[in-house]
Amino acid sequence: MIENQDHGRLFESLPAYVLGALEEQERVEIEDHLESCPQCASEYDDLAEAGTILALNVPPREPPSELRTRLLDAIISDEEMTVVRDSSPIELLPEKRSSRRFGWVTGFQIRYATAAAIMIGVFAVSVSTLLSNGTLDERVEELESQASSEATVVSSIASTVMDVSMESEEPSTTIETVSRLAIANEHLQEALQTSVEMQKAASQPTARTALLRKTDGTGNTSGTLVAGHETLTRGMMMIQGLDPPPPGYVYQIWMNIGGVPRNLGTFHVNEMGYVFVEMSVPLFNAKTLVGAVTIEPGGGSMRPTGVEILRLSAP
Amino acid sequence: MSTVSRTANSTKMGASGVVNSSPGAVRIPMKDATDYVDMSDEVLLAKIAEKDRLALGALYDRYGRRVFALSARMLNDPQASEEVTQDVFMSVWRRVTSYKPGRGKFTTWLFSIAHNRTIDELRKRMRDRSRENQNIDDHINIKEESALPVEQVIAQSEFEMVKEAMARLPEEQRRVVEMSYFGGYTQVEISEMTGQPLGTVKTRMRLALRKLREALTDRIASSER
Repeated sequence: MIENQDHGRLFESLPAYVLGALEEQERVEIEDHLESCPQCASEYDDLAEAGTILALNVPPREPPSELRTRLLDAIISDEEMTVVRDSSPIELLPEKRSSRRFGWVTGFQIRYATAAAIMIGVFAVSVSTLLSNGTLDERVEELESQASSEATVVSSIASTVMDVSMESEEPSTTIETVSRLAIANEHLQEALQTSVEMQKAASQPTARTALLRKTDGTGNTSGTLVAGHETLTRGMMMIQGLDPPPPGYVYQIWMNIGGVPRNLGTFHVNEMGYVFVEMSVPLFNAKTLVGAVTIEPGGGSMRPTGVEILRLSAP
Repeated sequence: MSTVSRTANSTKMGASGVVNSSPGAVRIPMKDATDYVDMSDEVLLAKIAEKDRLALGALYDRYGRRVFALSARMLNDPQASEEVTQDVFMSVWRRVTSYKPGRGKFTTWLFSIAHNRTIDELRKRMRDRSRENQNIDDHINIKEESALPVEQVIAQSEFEMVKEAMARLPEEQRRVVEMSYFGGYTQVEISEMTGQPLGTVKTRMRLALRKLREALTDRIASSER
């Protein structure tokens, strides 16, 4: 609860807030206060209009025409990166059907679950090699070797399903299951490619690595963030084992900079519970590295408001 | 009072006629894009909330020059200003649902995002270099020189109106506004650099903002008579 004394202090700082003349911590303090104080909110609305006027105290200036293209391309990439398919999530172990009629389906369930397990295995190898002391070539070689054998397994599963489909009494079901395997394989390939890219990124001299873990240490959900490999503020993140957020909600990742949560962006999860994203990140080191993944309303929030799902920390 | 916010029937400045002037226009057929030109900010925002890229393109055409100009004025670095401008419109794309119409005009929200993002970039740069020996007046003067000469700018009533209002502010109030809004200095830093008590700096900021608002309100009222 804000005391009257704090209200007075924050009210006095509103002009500085409008002019951008506060430190980050005080800026956040005022934003919190504005949510619950009608008097300050009204004063802010008046002053903010004058702030807009200041923005107009600059002659309009035409940006390079390429900027518009880049913006719209970035939006497309953003959407592709975070797209969630509208269809309901694939059931790794679907509800029980009559195995008497579709005896091969049970086998498919096992194989499909195997494909998912393979992806988790690839991820685990990726993280462990990421943190190992081997050379880059050794790490990538290890990963590719592991990936190659596992991709072969998925391929053989798909082939088996195709063989079974020739004898199946339910072609539409077969097409569905083959389609599922194809998607699983696609995600596996994506996981492998991303893992290799992250290995290479993490080996750069300027790169820093952070881990995402469940706060209670339970479950298989985990992730890795690598930053600083290309430019100091460029980052890549990979998470596995994450359930889709509730409808209308998204995941959002934050980094705590100087005691203030800094929004790194929102993201969605693919059908296999995986996340692969590239993002801009603030400069950080092992001492300052603290952050979290929370669930937020669609579009994301200015500050963390939802449940903390994963915690970001140094390895 | 309305400055640059557009309503459905508005033809005020900001309605760009160059929707398809960029190479990126290949993504947006002329017919569709022109349909968006006459839409109000509110309609465009509703479409952006539905992830309509054409709407964001139209909003960019309307305000991109303003955002870019503000950032370029503050950073004196066109390349960095391009990145800031892109970030600002990406923020609009991602956070459009957090805009609350009841809390003010869209332009207030937009320029607030643009200003805060630019301030962050400016302070990051300031931290990267020592500011101890920097002369404040030199810093501000350099920025003034880097802005486009007024003579080269097509006469635009809003800009002229604001410029005149700024010119009418007492020198010490104008200076505080320049140092904070365009220079990126905090009120504490301004107090230390100018030798004025913090309370005085705060008072000058409040007075300046109130005078600017009143000046613009008066001007618009007189132009409507």
